[in-house]
Amino acid sequence: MEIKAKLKDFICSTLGVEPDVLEYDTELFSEDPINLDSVDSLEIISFVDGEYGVDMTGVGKEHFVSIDTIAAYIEENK
Amino acid sequence: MMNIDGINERIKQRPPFQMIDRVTELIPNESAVGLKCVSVNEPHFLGHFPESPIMPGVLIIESCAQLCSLVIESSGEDADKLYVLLKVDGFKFVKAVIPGDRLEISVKKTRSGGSLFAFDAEVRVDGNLHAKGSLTFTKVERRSVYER
Repeated sequence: MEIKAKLKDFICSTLGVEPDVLEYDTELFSEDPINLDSVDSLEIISFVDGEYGVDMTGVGKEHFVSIDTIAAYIEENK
Repeated sequence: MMNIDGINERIKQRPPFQMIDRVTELIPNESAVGLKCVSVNEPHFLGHFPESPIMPGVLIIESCAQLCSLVIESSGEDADKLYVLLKVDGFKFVKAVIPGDRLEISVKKTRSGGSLFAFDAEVRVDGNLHAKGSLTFTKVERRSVYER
């Protein structure tokens, strides 16, 4: 499964986001429609570390905007 | 096996907030089995509830959390770090816990990565399931907790 599809699957299954409202370019931490919080960001960091061995701890917010930006960071750093 | 003396060396909680009496199995960084003996003398039974003592669900969760902390911190490393409870997921309290019960608590790490550690927990009394759920912890700088 490609990185973006895996990220989407994780975000929906573990963080409780409805698949219908989550596209690869949807903003994850804006108020609408996803509205993830800081605890969710730790979950994403943990998933990326465990799945790809990429540590995103302390990485800038610009890399957490959407599934697209997270996947791009993983591709660049794995 | 670890008795209360060994537990006191590893965790900071103390009575009346000490929720693990004995550890019977411990695989560092993986899993543990521990015991919590429930006594009618515990102070929360004064109010929860008068004439009908039932162990509060949040304290059953706390029992599981203290056992998890022994799994994570069994190496005794990271004096500057603090492991804090971050999430509680899907807890079910299948049967009430009352004075005289001995909780047999099993916790098993399900994943870790970044700063997170996630566990599944089960609580049994006389072999019967009384509670189960998942707990997630994170590691933070001790000083960052108190900086406001």
